[in-house]
Amino acid sequence: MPIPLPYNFQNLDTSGLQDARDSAGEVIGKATPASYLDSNFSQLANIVTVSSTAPTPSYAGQLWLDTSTSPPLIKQWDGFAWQSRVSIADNSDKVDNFHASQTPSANTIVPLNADGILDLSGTYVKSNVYTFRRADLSNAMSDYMLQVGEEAIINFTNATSVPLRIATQSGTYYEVHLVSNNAGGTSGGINDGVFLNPNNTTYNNAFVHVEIYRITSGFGSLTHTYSFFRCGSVFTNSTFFITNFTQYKNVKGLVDVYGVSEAYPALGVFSSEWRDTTTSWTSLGTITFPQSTSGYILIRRLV
Amino acid sequence: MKVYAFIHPDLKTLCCALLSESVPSNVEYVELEVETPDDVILDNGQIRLKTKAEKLEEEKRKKLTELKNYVARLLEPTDYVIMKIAEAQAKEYTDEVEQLKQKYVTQLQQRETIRQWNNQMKQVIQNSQTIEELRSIKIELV
Repeated sequence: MPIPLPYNFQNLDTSGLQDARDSAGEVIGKATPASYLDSNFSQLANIVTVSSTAPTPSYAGQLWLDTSTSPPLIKQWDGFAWQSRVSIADNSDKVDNFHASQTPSANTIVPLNADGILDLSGTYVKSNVYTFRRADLSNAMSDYMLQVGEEAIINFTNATSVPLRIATQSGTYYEVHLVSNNAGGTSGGINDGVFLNPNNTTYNNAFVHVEIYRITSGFGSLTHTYSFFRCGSVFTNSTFFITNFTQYKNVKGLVDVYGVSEAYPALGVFSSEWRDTTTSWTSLGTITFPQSTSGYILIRRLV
Repeated sequence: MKVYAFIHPDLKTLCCALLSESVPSNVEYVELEVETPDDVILDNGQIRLKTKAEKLEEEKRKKLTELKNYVARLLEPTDYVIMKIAEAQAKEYTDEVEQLKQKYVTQLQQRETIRQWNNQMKQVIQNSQTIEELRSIKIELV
């Protein structure tokens, strides 16, 4: 629908208008009064009526910015009624009413940063199955329940005992990386176990450990009863998996050992079972070392 | 390290909590300063620490086991020599026994050296007076 202008020059009766001439005095047309043009420009400049009340419609297709709502709405006269067309936000970074911002926060859309990285900083990604986040529990004072997919890091220095501060429950499953960084070589370590004490507690002789290992002097194996899970020895770099069903509780994994003469390296495959089918495992527990040890522990909940 | 020793109310067994908040509520416990939680034992219904003598004996057993495993690994590569000689002896092939002893004289001497060293180490372990002394013993035949 064309916008009705006050003057349609094509159909204008110009018989009463003065001639327009060029510099040589030749007639080249009719001179249009400036007031005609001004009227047309004024009509175009006010093509959108900005008002909190509806204007009187003069033609189909007429536009009206309705400022009675927040954000204002653009409306168009379809010949019968004013129809909403587009919502104009008061800030163009909004989508579905959510702002975009480089700073992650609740209800905010985060774009890639200047390095092309989606940096969510302290916030995290979550689906109905998996959570992507690392929680630093190095100085935690109470147990934290990891969500599926979420991982915890615990840094420790010169420690003989490191509480993991992770709550757990029957039906969960974890991957653990216990990494020592002491200088050890083939000496300086005490040849005793690294243990995981579930519920931060020892249970007298309730655990059976089996292990097959290769050390520098040859192959070997061991089976032993303990009061805790064994997950390494001396200075250890161990990767193990924790299964927690109240009726079946197990730690199994791979271990490298250094700090004693027959190790550096040493490779062990082990399984450690808590022979108890009734006691609930509610806190992953505390790792104990045979000597002051430094390093970190990474724990990811898989189920 | 500090531990909180108690008898588990359901399991009726000795437990040591490493954090005070890990002791079940309404359970009596004994607070003890230990080197490892293994130092705590239940003796005739009483929770107590192992004596120095008990810890020393335990450490000696560990060290002797370590020695035994080490010596077994040293001997293993030449076990086949002993098997061959034993088979010849079982068949009463006296000449072959002597031939094998000649053939494998180096291996047999190695084994003898290992066994002598083993006996010396056993004595060193048995004669140790402190845990520190025991821990300083390096089980390694150079």
